[in-house]
Amino acid sequence: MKPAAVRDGGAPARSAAADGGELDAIFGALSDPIRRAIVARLTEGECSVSQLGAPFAVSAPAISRHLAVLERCGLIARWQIGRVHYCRLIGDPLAQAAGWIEQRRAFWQGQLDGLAAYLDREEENSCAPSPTRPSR
Amino acid sequence: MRTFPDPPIPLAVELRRSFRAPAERVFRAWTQPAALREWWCPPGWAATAVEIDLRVGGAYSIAMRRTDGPGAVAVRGRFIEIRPPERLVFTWRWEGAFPDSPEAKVVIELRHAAGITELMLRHEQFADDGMRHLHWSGWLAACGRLDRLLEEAAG
Repeated sequence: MKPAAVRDGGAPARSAAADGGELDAIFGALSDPIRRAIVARLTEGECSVSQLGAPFAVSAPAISRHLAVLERCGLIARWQIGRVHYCRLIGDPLAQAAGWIEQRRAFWQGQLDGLAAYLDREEENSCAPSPTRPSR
Repeated sequence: MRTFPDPPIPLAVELRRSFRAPAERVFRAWTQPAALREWWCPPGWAATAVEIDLRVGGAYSIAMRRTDGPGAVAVRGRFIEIRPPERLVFTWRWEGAFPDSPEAKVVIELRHAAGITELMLRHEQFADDGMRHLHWSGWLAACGRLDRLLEEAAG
């Protein structure tokens, strides 16, 4: 038999590098309601840390710990001007999710191309009628 | 605009494809090692082992290696549902690729009409323990973009 045609070579290994831990870290960071609320607030734009903490009934050190978690997984950046601390969103978790979807979609599209080519070859190669072909 | 359930929607990919073949043949292509060897591996890859225990709870594995250099990956999982020739559900885990990616589920549905079999494939992440505690809805509602991405990906 001929090798499967019309395929995008190396799909399994190609998609291996960009996935995995990073996405897990983001899911982990977003497993906390306060951190999700912080991310939601930051989607509107950068903000000082004290403004950011205002709606939450948690201490400033607790906010700081949440920000450290978000910073570690690359979701936010923090900086200081004078005595004011600021932060903003840098990672885009939705882009990560879209990347996850796109990788799988590309992989499966390649697989289904291969399946279609195989079914066509099988059809051509079958001299006798296939026993499972519906007779009706 | 869709509303999002809470707790989390898993990440999912859905594809549809039509084949000019009866559903029985398409189903066999997914479940017989000899058939899988023929179509599963992309060019540059070769199946080194295809093992299929086709019963509910039974394991399968498809091991592949690069033909032109080092590199080996495998897909393993278990069958959750087997309903020939219309539905096949199995778990899905890469070995040697996506190292930290949680186990996923793949659903294959086949519908045959007028000589054409329509295949629906859905690949979704399990809501594992990490995901289960993710209450996406508040965050997603705030961002308001994921449903568009999912619509595009599904379309």
